[in-house]
Amino acid sequence: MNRSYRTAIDLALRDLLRTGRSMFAVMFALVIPLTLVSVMYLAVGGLARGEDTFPRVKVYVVDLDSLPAGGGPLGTMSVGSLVVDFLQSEELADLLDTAVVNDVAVARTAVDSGDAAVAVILPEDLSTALYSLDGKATVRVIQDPTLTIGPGIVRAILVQFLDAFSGAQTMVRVLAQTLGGADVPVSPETIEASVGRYVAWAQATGAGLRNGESAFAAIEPVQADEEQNPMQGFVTGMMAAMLVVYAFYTGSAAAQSVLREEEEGTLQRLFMAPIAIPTVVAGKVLASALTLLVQITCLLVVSRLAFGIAWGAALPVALAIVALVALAASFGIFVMSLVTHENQVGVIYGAVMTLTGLFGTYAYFLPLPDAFRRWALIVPQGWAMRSWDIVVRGGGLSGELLLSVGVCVILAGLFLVVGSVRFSRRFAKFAGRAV
Amino acid sequence: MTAPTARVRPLGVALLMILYYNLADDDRLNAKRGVAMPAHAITVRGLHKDFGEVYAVRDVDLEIDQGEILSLLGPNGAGKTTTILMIAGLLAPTAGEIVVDGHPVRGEPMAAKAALGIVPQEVAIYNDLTARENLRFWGKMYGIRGRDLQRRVDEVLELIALTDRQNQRTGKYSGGMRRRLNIGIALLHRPHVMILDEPTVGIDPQSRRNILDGIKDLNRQGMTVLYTTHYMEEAQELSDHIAIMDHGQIIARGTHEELVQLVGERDRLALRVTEAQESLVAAWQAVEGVQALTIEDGIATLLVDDSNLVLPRLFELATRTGVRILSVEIQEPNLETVFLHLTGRALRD
Repeated sequence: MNRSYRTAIDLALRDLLRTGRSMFAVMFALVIPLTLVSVMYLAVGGLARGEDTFPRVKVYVVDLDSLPAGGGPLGTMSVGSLVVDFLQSEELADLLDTAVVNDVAVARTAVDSGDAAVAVILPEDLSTALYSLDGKATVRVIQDPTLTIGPGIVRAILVQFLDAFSGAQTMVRVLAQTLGGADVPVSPETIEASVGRYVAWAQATGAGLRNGESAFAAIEPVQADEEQNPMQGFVTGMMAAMLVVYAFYTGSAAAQSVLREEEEGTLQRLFMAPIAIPTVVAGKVLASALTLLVQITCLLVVSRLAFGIAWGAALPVALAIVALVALAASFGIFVMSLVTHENQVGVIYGAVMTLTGLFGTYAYFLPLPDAFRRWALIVPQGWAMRSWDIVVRGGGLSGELLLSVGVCVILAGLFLVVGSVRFSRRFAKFAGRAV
Repeated sequence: MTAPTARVRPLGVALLMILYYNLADDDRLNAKRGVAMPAHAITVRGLHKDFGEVYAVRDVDLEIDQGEILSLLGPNGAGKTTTILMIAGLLAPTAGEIVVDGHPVRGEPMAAKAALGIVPQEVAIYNDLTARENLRFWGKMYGIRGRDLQRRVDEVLELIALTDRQNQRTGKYSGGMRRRLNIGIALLHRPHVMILDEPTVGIDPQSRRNILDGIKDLNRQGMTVLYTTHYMEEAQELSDHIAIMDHGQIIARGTHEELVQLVGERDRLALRVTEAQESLVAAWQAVEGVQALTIEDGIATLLVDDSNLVLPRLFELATRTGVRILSVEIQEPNLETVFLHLTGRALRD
């Protein structure tokens, strides 16, 4: 390999090593963006994935129901015990935390003290009301008045469950009327058998309904696609924005090493060695690119593992990485070439990088009209963000992506040329060339 | 931190033999290839450097023979560092020509730089790297790689007595250790010519002694040394030749003895006085036989033709102005005297 290339690589690896040892650089490149996204993820992202995000509703049930004399169509099972079994079933375990108590006062106290969100009082005549064709019982639901969602869920579940029994009652009533009209005697055994069959059917149908299947039509299941999940989309957009914003910070930080070396005296010493100016500039650009590559790879992998973000197909992601690395590295070189002293770096980070970074990315994670995304293209971060937006939306190797990546590369080339020329002029004072 | 520096000399001398072997090996190779070593390690002709209206270096001519130590002696701001920077190829001269080891700095800058080992005045090392990492990096910058790099790094670490601390980050080093590493970096590529720009500024006497001995050892192995300093004792101790620089010009050049002879038979008097009154200074300057006079920290330094004739007159004038002379010292002429003789100012001014 040509000696200049090897020297440039040595320079870059040296910078990479120094960056890795800088607590500030590691914090800025990896810890802060991941922390910010973690906060957002905990706030909204977890809900999107449906993992233990909704607190289980604590329900106290008081089952006062008893079988009518002689039993019922369900054998020794009362309707009340069926309701209790249903509320405690595994199907509802993610939603409800149901406890059975014997005393209404205890259940009420539990709701009043906040230990339970809802208390369900199943009356003594619940089963009797079902078997007598014109009977009607009242199930009481006592709830914490400050809560709405939890008690609402419990009510909906009770209505659905009891509706099956109401259906049975209606069915028996219709049966009795029909058979009575035909002078066919309706025996209690017939009623019990009919109710039993209806309830069994209703339970089977109810299970099917919960899976989106009705007797005559099925509801297509909701796709697990993240695009259809606005919360997951928000987290992905936020992470992409952090990726872009902090990559640009890192690009500037890497280029800042030139200023630091100038003040440490090591830059001057570099030019005491037989090294040409373009080699040093190339080494700095390569260092910046390598640092960015490490940072972006880490952020992509960690965010995938920690937040379940699907970044898309490999080739589009690779193109977006190339675009971001090229643009962030060259923009850093360009911006730092304008700086003459390390004291000015605070302005660069505080004003230039933060403002352009936010301006270029905020339209992608805030619900704003499309016009804002077009305006964001005024700054280089906007183009990098556009590329990532296309990739995470599953755009694949589209013309839109190629255009966006192409603009990034062209901008990177312009920034690199201007920055390199400015740095070369600056280095000339150390390299003994007439400026 | 005396232990590491105390070990430097025996270790340094032993390992300088290795360095010498390597240098000699290079020279043998050059001889085999028919590459003749130029007579002058450094040749400077008509060197000028202007910064706008201000000149920093003016009409400097300098020749440094192979294997000699030349000290560039002068006060701060005399133009020493500017001259060094131009020789090192780090500053473009306004006019003039510089040849290093047969390579013109303008025409063949890379070859000239490769022949030079430069120790900058300010320590220039990476604080977040270890000594070994620093040496490995700088070795690569001079094109040393592989086993040769490994060997050279080990040798230099021994030479500068940092083997035991080689894996510690240099940010935690003492000033003396950092200075030694600063010098070690310049030795890595076995340069023919070593340039040291005031390497002893701001360090303790033991480290200074250590550095001066190391330079002498290197020179004994055949290395040419260009050494800048404003300490006349260092120039006097180290140098085969001394060039005295002031206001961007070389005002005298020669061996120590040759320079002292410039002063002739004059004496250098050092008088400690109770008070440096302007009227007394003016009166003393007007005394016949007083060639130059400076006062600093209550000590009047005078260059006089004959101290026996001048001293009574100096006492008389001091008594008249109410100033007491606390002590009188008649010194042998030295480089300080030479500088005083040539410029009318003390070297520290």
